[in-house]
Amino acid sequence: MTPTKQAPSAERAPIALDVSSLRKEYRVRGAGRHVTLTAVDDVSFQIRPGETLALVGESGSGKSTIARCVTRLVEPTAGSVHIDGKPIIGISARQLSASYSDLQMVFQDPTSSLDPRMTVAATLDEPLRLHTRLDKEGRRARVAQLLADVELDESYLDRRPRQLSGGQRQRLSIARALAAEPKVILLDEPTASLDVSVRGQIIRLLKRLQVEHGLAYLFISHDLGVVRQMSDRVMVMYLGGIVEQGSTEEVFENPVHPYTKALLSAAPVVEYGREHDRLRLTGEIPSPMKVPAGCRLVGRCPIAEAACALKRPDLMLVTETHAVACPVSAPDAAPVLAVPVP
Amino acid sequence: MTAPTIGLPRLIRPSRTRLGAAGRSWALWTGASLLALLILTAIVATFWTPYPPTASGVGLLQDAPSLAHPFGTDGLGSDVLSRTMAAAKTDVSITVLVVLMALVVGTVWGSLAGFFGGAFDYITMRILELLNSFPSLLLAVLVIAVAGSGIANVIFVVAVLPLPDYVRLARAEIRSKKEYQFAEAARLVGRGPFGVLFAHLVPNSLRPLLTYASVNASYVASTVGALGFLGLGIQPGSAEWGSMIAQGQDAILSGQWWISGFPGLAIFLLAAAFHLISDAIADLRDQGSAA
Amino acid sequence: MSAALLEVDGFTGGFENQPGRIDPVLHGVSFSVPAGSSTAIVGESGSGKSITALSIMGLAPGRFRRTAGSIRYAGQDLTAMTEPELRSIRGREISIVFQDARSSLNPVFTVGTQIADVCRTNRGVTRREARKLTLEMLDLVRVPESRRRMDQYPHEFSGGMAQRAMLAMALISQPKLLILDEPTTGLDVTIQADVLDLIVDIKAETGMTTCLITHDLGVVAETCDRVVVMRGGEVKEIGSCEQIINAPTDPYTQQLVADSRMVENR
Repeated sequence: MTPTKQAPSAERAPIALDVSSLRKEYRVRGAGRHVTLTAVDDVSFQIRPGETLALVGESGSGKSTIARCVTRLVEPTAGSVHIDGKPIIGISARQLSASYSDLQMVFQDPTSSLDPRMTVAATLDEPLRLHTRLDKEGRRARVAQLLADVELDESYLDRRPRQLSGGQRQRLSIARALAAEPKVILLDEPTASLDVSVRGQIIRLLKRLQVEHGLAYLFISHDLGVVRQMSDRVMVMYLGGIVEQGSTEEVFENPVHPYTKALLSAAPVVEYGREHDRLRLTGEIPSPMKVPAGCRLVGRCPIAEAACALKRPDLMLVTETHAVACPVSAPDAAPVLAVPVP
Repeated sequence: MTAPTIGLPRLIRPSRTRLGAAGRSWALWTGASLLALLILTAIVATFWTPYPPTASGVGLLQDAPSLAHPFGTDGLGSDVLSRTMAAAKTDVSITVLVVLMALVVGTVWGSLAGFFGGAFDYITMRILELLNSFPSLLLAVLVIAVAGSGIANVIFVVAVLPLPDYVRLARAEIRSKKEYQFAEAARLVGRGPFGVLFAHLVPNSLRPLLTYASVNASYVASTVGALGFLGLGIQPGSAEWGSMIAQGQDAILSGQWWISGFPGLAIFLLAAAFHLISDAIADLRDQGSAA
Repeated sequence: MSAALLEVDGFTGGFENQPGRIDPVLHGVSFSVPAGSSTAIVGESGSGKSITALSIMGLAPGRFRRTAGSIRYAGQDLTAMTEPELRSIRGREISIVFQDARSSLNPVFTVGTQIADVCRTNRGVTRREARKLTLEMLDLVRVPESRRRMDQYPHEFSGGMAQRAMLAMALISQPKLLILDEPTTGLDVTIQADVLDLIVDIKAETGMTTCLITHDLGVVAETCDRVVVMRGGEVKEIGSCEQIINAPTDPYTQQLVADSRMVENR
């Protein structure tokens, strides 16, 4: 079933999620002719067990498309995805269904991602029936354990999603994702539809589950406060490409790319009388059909030089774990193909 | 290609009078009791009727309702009550069978077309257009005229007539729901395409289909009667409400209303039962998610 | 700070979901919006902040019933007014900007036409003057290339640009009070920051009073000077922005500030 088995690296923990040169293009019909729209442009990253990589960007950045390509909810145009060394792309539909025991996803809106007709018990029973060989009793015990894991009361077993609060629904979808004991969970804006008080609870829950189960998280969010709290490393995306990548500490404390700076300084902070030191970009994010040929930020960037419009910048290392795609901000950095995983 | 569902909403919700909670339960209650009564009659008639339904001369010819013959007798001296009861077997079972067939076949066919799309969907739509280009009752008459009358042919024809509506409705429901996130989530749970379709999407699309099925049932009940009336349905010997009406039609003019009247009332009650039920279902909020 | 421009006093009401039975949603909501202030009403979902704001505009949904209390604007009781009287205030003295700007715009008319229409009904100007005024308004809300963009349709506007257009429309009548109902929710952070900057700048220029409805304390901290905290249809705490953020007294407010700050208590 596994044609190529990656040799686990000798001293470090193995890679849980390995995404390499992932690319997604859409053919769009615009004014009679076909235009190719690149939603995700050769993105590579790796996540170790127990680690959280955050994917940050605004609308049109391609961050959600990455999650959908990794799970093959949409078929990527090119690239490879491996979970624990096992390929996800290029396998049959049946094998893919089986692979979902290792790879799960929690959606932004639990209201629409839960089947409205299924009770809590039925929702959690379904993955157990498909991925485990537990008998009825065993599954019932496992469902109870899952509920306890996400701190949902057992009295909710017969309720349907509509009878649960937003936070409870998200707990249920997290429990569903946990059911088959996956190695990797993609979290697509899991707190965006929740109130702040509930948001904190869900974040704490996700962190606890990560430690207990050694889960690797790909955390997709536009909420920088949550990202800072949640993640070990951060990848900043703009118009389908990575502009900056590094440890959470490095990216938040010492952002290098002008887009990262603009993004961080634009986020509202709960602090009275904060001195504004905003880095402003001019204009708005261009249409994904009109991405500049050189650096994607050309036209909006305050520090752009003539050369920026000509060649798309590669990622360059500013520290051992911090890379940025901006030769103007980091003139002495060395280009790399992929940032080494710490 | 947009889903051609124009005209369907009118069929699904025959009367858009908003029944209140009380009205809704009244409609459901009355409809369901009527239907239960008719089904019970059909079951009883299998084992017992006051007189043998096919025997002639059990009473006087065209005798008015009396204690001995509560529904009167017909032109051959058969007991109308016994014949009406026996006919319930035929009419109720044909109606239920026909609707179930059309519902199941239409739902599966339409769901598959809506979910998988492509060539199968294209061919489906062309077949539906072809079927729709014939006036439906004319088609029924033609098929029976060619293939001959008989229960099997009647069931087949009456079931095929509304099939395009079921297919369209199921197809449109599935197409609108297949991009829902719970369908994607079901794929990630490990369901294959058929699992996603039949375990998640179809159950969430059943309500409009069931509503339509009960509207359709009242139509089927009267169509079976109409075909019988035209002599195209069941063999004249066996009891069937439509053919009973036809037998009594001349007698109405001379004042013997009971020969046609009671089977006519029976058809009306069966159709009304389904109509009331459909009204109630159409008004219910999505049951699966209601408290 | 001068006298209150808007005073909500003991405002109580609920939804009549079934005839004769009212499910309460607001319980004696009282707060004031001083003239010239930028007041924020902060709360999570179900706090009653939106229904309060809509009631000020007389735009509460039809099944909402006021059972007690009043809303006074410049001394006049809005709740006692007839619809025509209310209309003379709504959109002239008080304007509102909603969350989803793009669905507030009519897709079949150009943005310029829609703004010009408001100019003509509100200011009684001629068609030509309306077009000129529209251009000025679009410049005021910093829509780039306003001359070209005024002839575009709503679908050609991004969410941020559409919100600017809605702001332009709300400002035409030179309102004394501008209600902003989650004006930047759903916008990207960089766009949100631009729109908030714009609101702060326009307020500074015109001296109008603003009332911002939001769930986001970060947005409040950046733009407001007074804060009303609501929860479950009740006012929990009222104070200056500095006090609410730095020294909240109500336990719920304390929790809300802590939750919103997550980074600090890591």
